[in-house]
Amino acid sequence: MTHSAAPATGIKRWLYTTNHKDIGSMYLIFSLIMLLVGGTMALLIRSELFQPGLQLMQPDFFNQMTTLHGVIMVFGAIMPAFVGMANWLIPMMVGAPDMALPRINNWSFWLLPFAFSMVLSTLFMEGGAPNFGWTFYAPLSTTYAPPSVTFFIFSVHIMGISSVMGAVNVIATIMNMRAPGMNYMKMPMFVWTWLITAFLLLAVMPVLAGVVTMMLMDIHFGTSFFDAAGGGDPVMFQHIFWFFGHPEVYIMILPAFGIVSHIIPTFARKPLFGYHSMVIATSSIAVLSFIVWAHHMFTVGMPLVGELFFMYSTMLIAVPTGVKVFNWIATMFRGSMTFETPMLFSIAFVVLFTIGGLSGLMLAIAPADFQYHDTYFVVAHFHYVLVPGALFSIIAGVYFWIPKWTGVMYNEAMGKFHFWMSFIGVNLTFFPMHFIGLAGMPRRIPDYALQFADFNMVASIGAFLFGLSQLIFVYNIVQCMRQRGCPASPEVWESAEGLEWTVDSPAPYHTFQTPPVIK
Amino acid sequence: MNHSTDASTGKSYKSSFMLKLVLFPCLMFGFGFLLIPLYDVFCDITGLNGKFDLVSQQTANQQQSSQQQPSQVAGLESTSSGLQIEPHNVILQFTAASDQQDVWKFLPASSQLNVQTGKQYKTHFTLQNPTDQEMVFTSIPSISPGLAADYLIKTECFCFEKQVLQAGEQVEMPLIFQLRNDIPKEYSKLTLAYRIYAQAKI
Amino acid sequence: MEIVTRIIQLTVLACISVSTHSAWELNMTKSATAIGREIHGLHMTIFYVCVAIAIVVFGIMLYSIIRHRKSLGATAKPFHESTVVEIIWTTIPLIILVVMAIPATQTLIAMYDTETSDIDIKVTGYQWKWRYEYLSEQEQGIDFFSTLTTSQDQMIGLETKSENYLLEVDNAVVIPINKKVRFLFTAQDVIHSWWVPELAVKKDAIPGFINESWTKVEKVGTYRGQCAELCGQGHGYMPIVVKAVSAEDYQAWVKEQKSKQLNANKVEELTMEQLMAQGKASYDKNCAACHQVSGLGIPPVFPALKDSPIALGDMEKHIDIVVNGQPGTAMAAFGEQLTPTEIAAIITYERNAWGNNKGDSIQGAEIVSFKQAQGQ
Repeated sequence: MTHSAAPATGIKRWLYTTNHKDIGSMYLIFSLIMLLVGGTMALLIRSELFQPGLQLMQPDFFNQMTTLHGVIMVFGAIMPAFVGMANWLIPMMVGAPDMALPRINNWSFWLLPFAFSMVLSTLFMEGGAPNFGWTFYAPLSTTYAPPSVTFFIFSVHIMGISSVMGAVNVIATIMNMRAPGMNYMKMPMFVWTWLITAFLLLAVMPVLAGVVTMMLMDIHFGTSFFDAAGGGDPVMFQHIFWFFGHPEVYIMILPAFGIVSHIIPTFARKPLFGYHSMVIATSSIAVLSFIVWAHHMFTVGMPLVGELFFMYSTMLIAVPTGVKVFNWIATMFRGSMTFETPMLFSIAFVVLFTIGGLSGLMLAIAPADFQYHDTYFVVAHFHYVLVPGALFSIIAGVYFWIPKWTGVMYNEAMGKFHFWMSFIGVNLTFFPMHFIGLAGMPRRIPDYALQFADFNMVASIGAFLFGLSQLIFVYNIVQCMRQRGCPASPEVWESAEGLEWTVDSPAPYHTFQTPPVIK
Repeated sequence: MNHSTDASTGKSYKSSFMLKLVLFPCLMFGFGFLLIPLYDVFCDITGLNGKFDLVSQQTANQQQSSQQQPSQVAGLESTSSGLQIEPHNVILQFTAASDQQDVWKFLPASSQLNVQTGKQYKTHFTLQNPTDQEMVFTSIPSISPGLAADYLIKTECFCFEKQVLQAGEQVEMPLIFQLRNDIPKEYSKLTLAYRIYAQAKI
Repeated sequence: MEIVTRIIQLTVLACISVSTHSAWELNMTKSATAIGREIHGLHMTIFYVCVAIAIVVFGIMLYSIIRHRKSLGATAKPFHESTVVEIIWTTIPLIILVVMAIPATQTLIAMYDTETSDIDIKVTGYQWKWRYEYLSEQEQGIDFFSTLTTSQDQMIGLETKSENYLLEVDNAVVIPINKKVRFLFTAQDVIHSWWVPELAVKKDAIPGFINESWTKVEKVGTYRGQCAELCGQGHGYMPIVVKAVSAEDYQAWVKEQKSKQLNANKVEELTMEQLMAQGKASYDKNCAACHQVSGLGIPPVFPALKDSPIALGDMEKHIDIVVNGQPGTAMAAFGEQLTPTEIAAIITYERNAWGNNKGDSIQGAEIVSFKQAQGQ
């Protein structure tokens, strides 16, 4: 079997590889680069907003930055990072030798660099990069868009294909490649959350592809899906977009739930509380995510019945989400806790994600949403669930598993320093945004009225603190990759549970070629 | 791969499973487009945007108006619909918009009418083609509150079809409508807006 | 250095008094309408509910973080399932949600009240200004544009920023207090959103369709808001100013507006200097967002006017493009948005600024006759 061959050397190893560990590493490194690119854009945005007035850039370039920041962070940083982790961990967690579809795996990774080079190249095109926000509402993104929108659409198609192939691979692996004896209710939480995420991806990425195809047809082929002049309706764009968009939000958070559900039990030295209810809660969040989309659109002029329906269904999501948070806390309760870097990030995840969840509950109240909608309150909300939510869980996961991936323990002191800088930075950046949002600052504006100045300055300072502290993270990762540090034992952590901890550190190029025995 | 599923039956199971996994996204892609007619149904039910389904309404109108014609000629309350609701008065406002309001001079003949439900009214909009070209334009109606769209029956409207206007031509475009008796009382003031989009005739 | 002192100043301020400094506003804007107060009440209730949940949840978590640590010799109790507890913590949030949903539903129903109104105003969003048309019979014919008046110099820091920086307009929309005002929203080009926090009205303005919302202001005052839906590069520069006045003041305003409407096409003869001065002012306000103060534009979407074939070419064509716009592009028709004098001044300015040396000028009267020749 070719599987048992040693890795090829040089560039060919990475271009042609079908090994899940190689592909996982490439995904993770790619998403780290994208995180830094998107983060630089965020810092440009925050620099412009440091003071009222236009200091650094024209409003049009500001809009290009907000758009690209959103697209790159969502599709380039968070999603590929989760796919990378899935690649590394799912086969090891279910006791499989590799992903079910190794060649497709290779292809779905290599599409990404092309898609994002194309997105970034639009910055140098005439008329500039897309400037209509990552939600690209028509007709701003069709009739009134810069010429580069066509490239944007094409790269969204490529990203979509990549994600769908990734999802197919994950589902096939989980459903067909589990070691004998590992039934569904014995699967680790990360595998469970990813299985559900993969089904969400399969269901909604094609809808995104559909909506950008309609845009493309409106722009180039004279249809009018979203143009009132030809009998279309711009609001329909928003409905289709958010039919994709809301499940997409959960695509970015469900694997995070999985990661945290591994880390907290490990460092509390206790099994996860309520495994079954965790699985049920995750599934119900996924199902509910399909019937709440219009809560992003409370102000488009929906009739009362519609508003009420989407308000109630959105509030309902708080229940399974609450169950998850309670379960994590019950896992910590009466444990024997230690606070290594992954645990610190996970605890911060639970606290800050809950804050984001609670502001989400506030946003669900439709009458109040009329005041919150499209203000910095919303910006604060979704950054709380995505940065200290999704991103912190990824960082926690990297610290947790990097000894297994590289065979080297990261520098704990640097890790803790990274944590505290990030924790302070993230709150300094996003907490004041609640206040300026409530005070009335709309989002996506390059310049603002004087009463918003002070908190904006605080947020900008926090953003630089947060952004620069990620360099410590990069340093830690690079040190591990260069094999600088103490060698890690196979178990790495005192009471880590799971098949991935039964193999050597670093994990051999090929693992579980004979399936392990599950108790 | 000497795993649980590598028996020969597992192979065919696996390929049909893969087929499903590939088919599902394709179906969802189609579903994305299916959302368009679904959205129209959704608009119909909920009255979103005050959007009218022009074609079906036109045919529905014809049926309805032919039914109700006799009672109206007699000047009686329309009871043929089987509704025991007394007619009441509603204020109906008209507003018009175009790409260049003062160039096209697209205006309602009266800015508002006090309309009795169940009775048929006739009004018109004026429009002048300011260009030296023959122009084709479409009119997009929209009513607010959106749910009231169900109760406004348009027997004749320039919005049903594309209109052609000669260079410099000025027209009066008729609108014949009635409000159904069963329109809920809380809709006491409605606004009917028209937006025209014009392009040169090729 | 200035930044350092500013940071110190900020820290000190934050420590001493958060509440006395108006800029450190922490909570939702207080409203001038009954609905707004209801919304504010809802916001506070849900906020307190969230705080209570957070205190309980984080309290338990903090307790176990402090007490149940290995360094204190805590040993893990490996319990991991309890159906009773799980049912309890599923039910309690559900009950809280139902309790929250009741007042929220009531407020929402109140907001959707469609009973008759006293005044109807059609609000149209343009890139990047608002147009207000009064529909009711009494105010028939009042129809004006409302554009940002903050100067480019204030934005780029050449001038100190005024008190209402970015929140000031040339023509505010005037409404009487204690009357139900119904707004109808639509847009000319892309989606905009009309939002005045103190009136608690936010509604999207969608091209081709209309939406409605209403308000009943109780206090005389000036209320400021902004566009709340990304609508292109001028999104941050299309504020809303609502002046709520007494019934008498409102009548006087209506009268004044009507006479103004009659005199709209009256024009006076201006000298070249006057034309250039007014031209610069009007250009910076209406044209510079796209074509830039420097006249260099942002090609290819917004072409440069410096050395442009239109600004240096045939006058008739230049007037035509300013008055009627360029269909299919971002160039709007300014014929109805600006007075003939303003258009004449802008055209003169464009032909003679930034090294464009056409030397010719045009008067407002010629714009009027141009428009009349078009059959207007």
